[in-house]
Amino acid sequence: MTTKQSRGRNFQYSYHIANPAPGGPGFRNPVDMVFYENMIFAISRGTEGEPCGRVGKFTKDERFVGQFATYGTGDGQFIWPTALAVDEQGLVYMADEWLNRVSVYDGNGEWEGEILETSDKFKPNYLRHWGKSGSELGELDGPAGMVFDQDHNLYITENQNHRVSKFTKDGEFLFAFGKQGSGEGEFMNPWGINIDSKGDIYVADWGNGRVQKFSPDGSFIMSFGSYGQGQGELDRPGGVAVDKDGDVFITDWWGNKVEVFDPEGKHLITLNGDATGLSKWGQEVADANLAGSGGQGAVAIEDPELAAKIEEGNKSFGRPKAIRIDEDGLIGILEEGKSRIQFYYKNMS
Amino acid sequence: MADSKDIALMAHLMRRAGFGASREELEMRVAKGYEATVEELLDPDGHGIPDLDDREICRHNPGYVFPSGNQPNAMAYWVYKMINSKRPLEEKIALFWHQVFATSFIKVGPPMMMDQIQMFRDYGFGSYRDLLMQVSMDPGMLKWLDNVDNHKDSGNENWGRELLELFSMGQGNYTEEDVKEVSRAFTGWTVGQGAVGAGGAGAFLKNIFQYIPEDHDDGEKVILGHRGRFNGEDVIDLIMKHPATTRFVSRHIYNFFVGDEVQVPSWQDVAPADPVALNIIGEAFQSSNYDIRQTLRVIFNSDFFKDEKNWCSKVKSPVELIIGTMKLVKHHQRPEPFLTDIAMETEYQGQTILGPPSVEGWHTGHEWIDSGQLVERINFVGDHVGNSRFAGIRSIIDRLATQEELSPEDLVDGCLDLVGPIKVADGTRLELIAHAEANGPAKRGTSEEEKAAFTDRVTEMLRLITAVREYQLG
Repeated sequence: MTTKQSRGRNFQYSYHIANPAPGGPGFRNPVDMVFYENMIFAISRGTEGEPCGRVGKFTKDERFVGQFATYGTGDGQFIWPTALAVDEQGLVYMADEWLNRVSVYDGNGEWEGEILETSDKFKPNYLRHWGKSGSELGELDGPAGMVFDQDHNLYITENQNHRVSKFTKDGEFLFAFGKQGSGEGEFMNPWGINIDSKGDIYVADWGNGRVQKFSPDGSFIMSFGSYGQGQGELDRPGGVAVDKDGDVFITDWWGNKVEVFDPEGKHLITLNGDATGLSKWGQEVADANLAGSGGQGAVAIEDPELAAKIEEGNKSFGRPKAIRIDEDGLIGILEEGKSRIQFYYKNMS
Repeated sequence: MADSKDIALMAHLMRRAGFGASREELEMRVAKGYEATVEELLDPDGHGIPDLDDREICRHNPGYVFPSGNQPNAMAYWVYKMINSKRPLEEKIALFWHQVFATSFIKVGPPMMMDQIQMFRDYGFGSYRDLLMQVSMDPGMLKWLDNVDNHKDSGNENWGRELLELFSMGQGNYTEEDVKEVSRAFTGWTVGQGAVGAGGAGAFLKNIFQYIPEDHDDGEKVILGHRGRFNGEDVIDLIMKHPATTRFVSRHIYNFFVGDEVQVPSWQDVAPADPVALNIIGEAFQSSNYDIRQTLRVIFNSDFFKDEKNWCSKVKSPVELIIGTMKLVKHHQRPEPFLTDIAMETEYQGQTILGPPSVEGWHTGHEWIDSGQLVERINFVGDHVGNSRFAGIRSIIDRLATQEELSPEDLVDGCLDLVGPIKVADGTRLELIAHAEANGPAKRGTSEEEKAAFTDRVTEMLRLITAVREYQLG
């Protein structure tokens, strides 16, 4: 296991889940995920022209439960899905930055690998949606990130309105903060959002290359990182998460790394990715291909230098977007570019 | 208020050196000046004009920037850049070289095609010698024309032949023996894997140029009358010194930027359309040491280019028609879904970008249009100019609505002016006026109903105008 240390903290790579599949177990251009009990819900945004976008449900040990939601403009469908959140009842909320709405699904149940077509009458789990396009208060333009607070209300970042809006989970507008700009409390196309144990809000301020921290009422507290390509710098941050110690983990989406800061904003460490070998799903695909090729399998790479480059290349993050930390301290990093989740633990030494 | 002739000349420049421009952009550029605009188009870096941000495109359409095997996504990426780049000549020159060095994703896949187009952006304005070197080392081209199979002990002449026939000198200026010897000189030029990508891709392997000395035939060769132990780079130098190369490249440039020529295979038999202009282009090419930027500078500032008889005289390629329409109506001005539909329209109209029909590229000029393609072209444009929700169409309506009432003549002339300006045949104009007269003057009105009626009058006239012959010409 790969372990990295910084100022009394050990960051240990654990395992990964990967399979760039157009449907079923795996992902295609995944942009957000959320942990709920032992389950993970993940959105695959898909690729235009290929019907591979969906929300997948699976356990943390890679047991595929099923998938729901399909590409389209009908009820329960999506065009540009961006963000997920799960409420205390296990209902899944999905934001769509093109349709400017939040769709709600029943995420409960064991589906045994079934595909729940929300556009179909067969086992629909779609419940409702809300949201109105626009730039007025209470309207949405480009909902991009979403998180529940302790009172079961939703904070939503808006990419095109450059602000954070707060709604009840039924879509009743509460308040908003922020505007376009680069000053404190201002945003340029904000993306991911998260909340810490005190209820403070962290927003990935994508265009400004930083994460800003706010009190629950939207008052600016501090910021983490600055624009750049070096260690501790951010080239279009996509997601953010805060662990129980208050350390702040930021996915540097375009920089292909994860930057970690202490609660005071001091840079702790840069994670570049450590995944090796095949995940369970990946192995299943490899085994199926091996069987299908009459036992021939893939061509082995004879050049050791090339093989080493491939090995090293596979480890690294590819556009890490979402980051979530569960109650056991398991840190999941979702990679849009590599259709993979890498998991880490952090221990205090 | 800009002079209408200045606007018309600027529109001509922007159609040829770009993909057209909105009236607002034309007015801005006229205020800046013709020569200054030419300089900005030729040297965007020197004028601080930034390229589009791939991060912005990727955030919304990751498949466009990293299409893997998805051809429509790769096409959409380029279409987005052609519509929105503030460096339009950079995209136009890439399209030009794509036409000359026609390579297709069908054999090499979208990622290598995207790399090749980027190479055209990076080297397309510089020395033709340097560009030929880059093309000779381009992984997509090396695979497309089988130089990866051109070995010391078993040659493949595909690349060597096309280098002479289609990329530099043209038929009739070299021998079969030259083809064999040029091919020998390029043995060992192949494709390997090794570079690690960056910038949003994470680390990954990609195809790169590789020279394998052990696979290179280092023996003596005789090429174009010269004797030596030539390698590929020596061949490029010999080609550049041959006068046929200047004539051939100049005619390509003329055909793309100035006036329609016969198809390339006929060039050895049919005289150029404008020998005087071709001589000026050739002289600029030679005297600048094959510099494309300087050659284009001479062309765009020349009398023959500015001559009114050359305005709207070339048949628009499907890409020019489609992108020009997008810019006119101002659609897909920021990342939006469904751009692949627009990208695929290039295929429906006969110019699948990144997928030309053969190494010869597309047949141009009047061969862009047959009866089926004409209907496709007119329907596509009509569907867009007839949609008043597009900002560009709203802008045209708003400009026309500055007058309380438009006579049928004013309506026709106003629309002709704002979609180009374009000048139509007298008979065509009279027919358009006769059609407008059937509903009398167009009144902008005050009520929602009256405003809607005015909008319908304008969009109907725009649809008619974009269906006439002259709109098909650029």
